Amino acid sequence: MIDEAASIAELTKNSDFVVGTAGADMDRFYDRITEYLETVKRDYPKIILEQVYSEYSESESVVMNTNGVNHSLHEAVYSFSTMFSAHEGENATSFNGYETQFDDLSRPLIDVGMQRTLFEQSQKELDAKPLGEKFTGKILVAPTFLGELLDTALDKFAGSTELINGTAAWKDKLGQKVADEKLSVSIIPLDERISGGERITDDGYVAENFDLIRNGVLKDFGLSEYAAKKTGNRRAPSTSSCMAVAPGDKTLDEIVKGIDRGLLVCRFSGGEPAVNGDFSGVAKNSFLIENGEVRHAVTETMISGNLEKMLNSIVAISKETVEDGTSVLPYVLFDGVTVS
Amino acid sequence: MLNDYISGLIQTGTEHTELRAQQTESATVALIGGNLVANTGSKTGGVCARVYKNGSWGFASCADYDKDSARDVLASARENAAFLDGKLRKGKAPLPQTKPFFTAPETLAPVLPRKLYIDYATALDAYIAKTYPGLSGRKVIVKSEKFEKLLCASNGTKAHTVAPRVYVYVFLSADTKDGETLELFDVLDGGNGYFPDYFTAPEQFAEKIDGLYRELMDKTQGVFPEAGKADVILAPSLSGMLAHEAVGHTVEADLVLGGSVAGHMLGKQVASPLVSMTDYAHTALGKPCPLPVFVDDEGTECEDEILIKDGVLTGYMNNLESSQRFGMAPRGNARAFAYSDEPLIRMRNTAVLPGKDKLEDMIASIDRGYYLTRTDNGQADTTGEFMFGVTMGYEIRNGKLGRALRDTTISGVAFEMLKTVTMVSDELVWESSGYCGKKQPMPVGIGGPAVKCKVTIGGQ
Repeated sequence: MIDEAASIAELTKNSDFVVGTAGADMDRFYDRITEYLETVKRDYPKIILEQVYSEYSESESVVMNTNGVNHSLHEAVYSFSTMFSAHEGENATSFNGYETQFDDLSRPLIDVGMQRTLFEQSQKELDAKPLGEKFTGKILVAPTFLGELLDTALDKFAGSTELINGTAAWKDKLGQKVADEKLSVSIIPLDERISGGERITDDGYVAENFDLIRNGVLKDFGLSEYAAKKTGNRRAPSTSSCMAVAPGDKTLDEIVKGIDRGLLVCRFSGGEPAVNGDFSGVAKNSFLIENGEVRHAVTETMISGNLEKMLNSIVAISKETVEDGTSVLPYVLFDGVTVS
Repeated sequence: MLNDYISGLIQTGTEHTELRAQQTESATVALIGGNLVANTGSKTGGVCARVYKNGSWGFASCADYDKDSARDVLASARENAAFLDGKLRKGKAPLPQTKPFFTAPETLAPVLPRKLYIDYATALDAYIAKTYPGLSGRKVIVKSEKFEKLLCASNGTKAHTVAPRVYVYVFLSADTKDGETLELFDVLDGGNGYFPDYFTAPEQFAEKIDGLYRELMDKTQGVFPEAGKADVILAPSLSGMLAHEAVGHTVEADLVLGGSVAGHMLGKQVASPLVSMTDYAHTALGKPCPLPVFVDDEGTECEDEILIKDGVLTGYMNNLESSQRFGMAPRGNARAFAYSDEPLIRMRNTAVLPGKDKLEDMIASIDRGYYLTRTDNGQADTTGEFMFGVTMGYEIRNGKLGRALRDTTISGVAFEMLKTVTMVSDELVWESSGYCGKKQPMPVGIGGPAVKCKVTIGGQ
């Protein structure tokens, strides 16, 4: 039986894209990595870098189909990932990690993204303590966890698989309010703050930036062409995950000062949330906030709640955003999460 | 079948050098709600070389595979090693030479048409739709892959290996009376081999699918566990996950060097004396492992690595370089995923060994606790802290199974939790359908018996 939704990209305009700077400077690349290792050793003496992986990648690809589509892409990008923990004698912290992308070697690698913050936090985690009394209340989600949280929520509530399966919670909510009005989420593969990004979608169309959620209203499902045709919705203008969340109107400092008791969550280690958004897992590399101040790191602390309810319980979004070459994300304060 | 363009390019006994040609084939067919949403096949391959020079490595790969490209990548890898050696000047001794390993070329099974997968998945989906009309969603996925490698190494190894695997996954969804959608999945069958080795007609799995459906129905009536420390029985899929995630990774020598908790524990009691754990190469307790590995990608013949013996931590998993550092024998744990990947220290078939208890006696021994039967993922820290998602389980009340559980999470610290083990069942159950993720994906086997212990379980 022929599936009418199965199709290939239609021809609009063919393009030849060039992204990034071709040709790696191996000596400078080596010097930047050496400088990074020396900086970490000097400025963060308790940190052990368990793994540092850096790559320059240059690729050429062509997308063609029988509708006459014929795009080409020449892409060059540097990527960098690190995994680390802090150590003092036999006392060791949870590992943490960071991944980033960049176009050139003009900046020291340690200045890309928020690595210095994470190294400082990791050293403080050597004094981690139990949470104490459990509570249901506020968690301040750092940019290092926010992207994963929103990706998961959008995938569960409005993603291609769940929409086709008929199990997406937001299947009838296009154009309706699905989150707090402070939340605006966009996919921005062409933005100058993104390295690499996307120029040609998985379906063979020219990629464009677009809004997923604007002021709390669901503007797009983010669907593949097949899922769009299958469900009678619009194809997403980009199939990338280069996410931007619009900044809020309070500084991070102001947000923290307004929290009586809460948890700063920097990394989450949890099971796959249920289709309805229920989730639970361990808050890793996370810190207790009390009386408007970030206190000590916490050990073996779980957070649980419901993603859909959380998105409707946003208290504040920070003015500051972190750019790691793949996303532009602020800190977001959610309410109604159980911390135990 | 890969042609041999690499023999004779490396001289035996020189500085450690590997030359590997590889071809990887994979196919996926997926049906969601009866719609064919994925029908993909890929074939990637090439040749790579890695060279060790005075403590520095050089690696190069190329997607073309012929005599010239093999010579070129070897030359590039040597240049890269010399580049780093010129900068770092570590001046280290040569790596240990392991005994050479040889395998005769194998005959490959013919390539199967993907229509076979589509027809099977369609028939299976139709069977599920007809048998269980009340489901709110269903997915059927067929996945296969095959890794063919031709390896020559400076220890004299010349190995031609083929490692195929295939699996069929079924996901069922149902709604609770409040309209919330819950999902459960199972791997119907599969493992080392080809599609016809495991799959003929959907009806052959009627009992297994029915079991999954009944569990899903139980789950729609399920309750959340009480949050906190609890007596639990971890079913084999969870104890296998524990063996891999929470213990296995901490005893990979590269993570030990990176500061994992196991660095301070060699020779110490880290678990109950009832607990033993081994990373098997190809044969476990007289039977083939789910994903047998005979030679690693450094050219070392694979042997079992005993990690925990009667509760005492006895060993790490090594590559050649770390084995030299720790003074341990390399047992073939250096594995690479794609032709363009360098070998990393990886597990192969890691299992908690079975004990002497019967599962029913274990359940009967708990007054108030949980029997946790399915997991969909697990993560662990280099400190040994672990977290597993639990997608199915039951209360235990007065030694008997009670109400089903909704999705929850368990967590703990591996080397503390393993000391609370008081019973271990007499069965060893393997799973092998997933990947281990550590910079590169890697097919691995995980196995274990049911284990009675204490863990922290999340509530609502």
